[in-house]
Amino acid sequence: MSNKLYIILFIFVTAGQFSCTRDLDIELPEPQKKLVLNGILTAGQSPAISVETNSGMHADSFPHSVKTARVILTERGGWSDTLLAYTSSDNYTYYLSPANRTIQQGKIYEIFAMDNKLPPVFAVTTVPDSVAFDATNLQRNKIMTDINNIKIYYDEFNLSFKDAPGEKNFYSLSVTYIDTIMQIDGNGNLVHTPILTTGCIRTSDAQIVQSSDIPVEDDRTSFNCYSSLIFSDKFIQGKSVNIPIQIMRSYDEYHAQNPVYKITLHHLSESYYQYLVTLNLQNRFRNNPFAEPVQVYNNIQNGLGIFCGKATSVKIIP
Amino acid sequence: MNYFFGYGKVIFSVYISHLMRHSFTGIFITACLCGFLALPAQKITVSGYVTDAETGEQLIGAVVYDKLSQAGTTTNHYGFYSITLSADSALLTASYVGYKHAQVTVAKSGTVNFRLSLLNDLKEVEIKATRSSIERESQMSTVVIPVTQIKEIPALLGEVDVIKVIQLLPGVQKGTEGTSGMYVRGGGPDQNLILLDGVPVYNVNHLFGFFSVFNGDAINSVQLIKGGFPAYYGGRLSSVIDITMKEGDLNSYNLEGGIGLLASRLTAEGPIKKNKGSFIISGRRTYLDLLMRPILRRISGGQANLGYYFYDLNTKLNWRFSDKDRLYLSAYLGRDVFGGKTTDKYEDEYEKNTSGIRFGLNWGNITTALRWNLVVSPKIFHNLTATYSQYRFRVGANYYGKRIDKINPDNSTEVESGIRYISGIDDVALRSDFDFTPVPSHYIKFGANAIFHTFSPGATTYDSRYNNISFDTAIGSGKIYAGEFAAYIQDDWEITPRWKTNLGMHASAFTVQRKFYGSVQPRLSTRVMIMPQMSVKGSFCLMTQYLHLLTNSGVGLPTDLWLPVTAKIKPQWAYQGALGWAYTLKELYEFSVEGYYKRMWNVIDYKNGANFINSSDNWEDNLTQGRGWSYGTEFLVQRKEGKLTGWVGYTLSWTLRQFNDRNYGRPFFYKYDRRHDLSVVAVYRINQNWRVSGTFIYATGNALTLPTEKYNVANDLQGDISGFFGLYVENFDRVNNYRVPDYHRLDLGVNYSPDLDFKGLKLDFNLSVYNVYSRLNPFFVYLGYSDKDPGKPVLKKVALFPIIPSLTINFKWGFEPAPRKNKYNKTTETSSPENQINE
Repeated sequence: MSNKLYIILFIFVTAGQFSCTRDLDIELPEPQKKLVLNGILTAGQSPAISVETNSGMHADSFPHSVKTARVILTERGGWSDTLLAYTSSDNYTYYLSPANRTIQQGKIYEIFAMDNKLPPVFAVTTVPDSVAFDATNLQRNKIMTDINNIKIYYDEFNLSFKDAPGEKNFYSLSVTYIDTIMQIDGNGNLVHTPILTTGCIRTSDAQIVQSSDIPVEDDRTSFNCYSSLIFSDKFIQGKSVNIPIQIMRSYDEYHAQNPVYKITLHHLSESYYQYLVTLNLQNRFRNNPFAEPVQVYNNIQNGLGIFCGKATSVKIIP
Repeated sequence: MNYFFGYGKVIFSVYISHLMRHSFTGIFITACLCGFLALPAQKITVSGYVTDAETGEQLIGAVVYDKLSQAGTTTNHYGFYSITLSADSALLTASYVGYKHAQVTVAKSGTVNFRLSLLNDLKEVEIKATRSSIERESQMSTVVIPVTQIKEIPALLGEVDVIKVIQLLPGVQKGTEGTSGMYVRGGGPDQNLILLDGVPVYNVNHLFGFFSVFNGDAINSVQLIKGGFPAYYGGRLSSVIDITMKEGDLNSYNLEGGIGLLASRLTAEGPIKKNKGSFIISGRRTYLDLLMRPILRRISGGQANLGYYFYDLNTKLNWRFSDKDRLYLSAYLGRDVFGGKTTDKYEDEYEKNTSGIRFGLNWGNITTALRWNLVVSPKIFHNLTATYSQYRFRVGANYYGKRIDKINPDNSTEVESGIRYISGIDDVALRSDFDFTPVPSHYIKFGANAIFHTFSPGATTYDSRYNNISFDTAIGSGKIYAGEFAAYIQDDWEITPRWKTNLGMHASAFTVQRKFYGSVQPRLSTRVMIMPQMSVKGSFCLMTQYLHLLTNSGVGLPTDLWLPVTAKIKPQWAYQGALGWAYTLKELYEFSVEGYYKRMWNVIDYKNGANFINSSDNWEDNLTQGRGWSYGTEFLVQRKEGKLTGWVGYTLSWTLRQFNDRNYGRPFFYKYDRRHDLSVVAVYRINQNWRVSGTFIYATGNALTLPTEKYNVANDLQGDISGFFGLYVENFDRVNNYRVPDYHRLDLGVNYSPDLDFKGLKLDFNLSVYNVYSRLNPFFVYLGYSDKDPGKPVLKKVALFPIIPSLTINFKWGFEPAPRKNKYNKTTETSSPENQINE
């Protein structure tokens, strides 16, 4: 057949079946204006609460900070402060305690905020107790091989702690260290420059993997690692655990060879855990047209955001 | 027979006292038995088959009616009927939609086989319906669609599609534009039991759901049941679509086919031995690949070689050993194949590179059924069936690359790697069913079946080779074996001339991985005549489902994964209650109104963020189980007689779901919750040669979860744990908070059948126009940015199928004229061809 005939047939068939796709614009509905209150209370630290308003999906400027809100933070059975607004250099507005209060572990905190005609918002959270842990048996420069026969280098240590019995507990583990990167100095020379790095970590402990509500990505063709391990005590309830933690690294002349690791174990309130899990899921599947959309956890009555607590324990190894 | 009943009474009386202790089962069986034992002795029993006079094809659901006693029955799935009368004689009439009535006087027990002639043969234009009026049936929520009518309704690209026609009925919601997804009374697509000659078909989609796998030329009848399920059926919650294949012409050889824009069909049928056995073989294939492959190759400069096609093959053989036993063998094979390869070559003075990618995707079903029909006695009909059903989905890709170093050949490399994925389900089943008509007022069916499932949830194989070093590995879930068993009994009982009821009990069990589940499911439907042509109906049924379908729900992708219940994932179950009203006006118009309420438990859905792409592995962890509700009212006005036939259907309904870990545990509207759904279908026969047809559809838009607002991710000043600081949260107040624009469409068709007298050749030209006013209905929507105002986020609607005209040429060619009489059809005891009077 001639080229023309092929082209005519092609146009006829495809136009009839596939390429009649049209993109049509539909205006998005405008949301009702609400206060967004974000406050993560850390035991032993001063509170800092951000207050802003939500935006329509078409808004292109961030943040919409609220600088005139009345924000009251109360420690149940203790003090109550009206927080003062402070705007940071990057234009975020935080509300801070004028009395420089410190958040106590095991205490319950309530927050109330209102501004102009927006509905007042309210939230409550418990700040959990810190968890004592140990990080031992650091082994460096270990090797595992992935399915494509590629060698992957990592350091490994054992994390041990006891989960408090009779209550739901939620954790987050992260590792930071000083690494080096290569930069070109003013003379055009390559120099090692120290940089604070969040380690990419993983665990091979099945109980911990199963205890996380963040689905683990396919771990067979490559070894996935994460900036933090977020898990519950679903499968370790009340137990003493000893978990191997791998820190995936590059062992070449450009990176620090034997870094000192700062291990941080956060004991999270349930609301913080739910927030982290759903936030992770939403971002992971944000552009996946086949995934069910994820609703990020929100515990602010009449508003949006998160009000939660955590207690942090730290170890340095070696 | 008297001996049988005498002996039976003793046995039954012993059982009655025992069964009374077992609640519903006891009450049901006792009620049935008392009902027919209390009746006076019966005088004559007449049984036989109702067939098409020309082809010998059995007519399913034909009405056999005694005009003297006003008792009647209908033929079963195999065209068999049995009627026992208390009179000395009867004036039996057999009727079927589109056929002339036949009538015979009988005076003693025996066999009467009715051969009905098509009205078309007699040059009549009107379609005459049977008097199996809607108001007289005890069964409700059931629609039988004649295949002739299905073929006359305008279709997308001229491809006759059973599923698309079913989607036009009230209570049935379609999925997205153009696809075969079906949502019956708020149920999911996994809750439909789709049977082809009694064998479940697990994936009914061709071309990603735009066409169904059922070839109209090979189909004899289509029945949809939406509620009030008879005890015969089980295993799904929401609907049964029972499709029976043609058997093949017993008298003459015929070729039938069609040439369409997308595909062509060819069907051959005829006797293996006249009046003893027949065959039918029907095939269909697309030629998209033949058209597009050379074009794509030229466009890509010879680098790309892509193609897609699908094909179907239906075949059925039957052999009549005697009037009392017949054997059938039917099979279906269908496959969609999409694949291709690309190659890339490069050469210079230093090296020569060749690389390429080959990929393939294919999926399809195989079903086979071996069936033995035996007339045990004039009152007992037995059907024994062995079936096999398979669904497979395969995808694979290979990369290869070869580099020849011309300077230093030792540095040449050769790389090859591949990935293959396969999933599917295999069923082997055996079922035994009995039809027993002891007295005119009772039509009892009972039987049992066993299905052995083999699930292949998905295995992935990787292999790679680098020069001479190679490895391969297989990972993924292993096969899961399961057994499903069921037994049932039901009785269609005419308690009084005004009150008829269908009582039944379906018991089922499922065993998988040393876990056992069982359920007992009562079924009841009843009707009361309140006027001669008006009745009220009610039904209640309980259903259990042991299989789950992991699917993306919207588009009919072949990645559908059928999986069993497990220790973690519990069986779905539901109850449905319905009340209805049915009325026939002037024997022309049938009106029905049905209200229903359905509750479902353990329905499945993906957890937040989970989806069918990452669901084959650890699939149980990706699922959540919850509850569902659906309630609504369906209106149907149908005209089956006259020059104008068709229906108007309207559904007003609400469907909700509730899962603990979705939407904060609060109920939300289901994706396919559709408040209003209207369908108008009309076929007008202008004369013997010309027919025009049209359909109009209006439906509320699908529900969709759409983020409507955003705000910043919380900043943890003591160290960001989330890793998302600087991004924003997209928020929606509830799941499925938005409705896409309403759906509406008008299709028109014209059929022209010229008067030809060329050696039995008949031609039919069909011109269909799909989406006449080119409404751009949404196929899917997504968040994007405006083309007119760049940078402004908007909702983008993607529409498929604007106005699409198509022309299909159908033909039928009989090799020799059909004989008017044959030995088989003369087989009667009480009637002869002389007293089979055509009205």
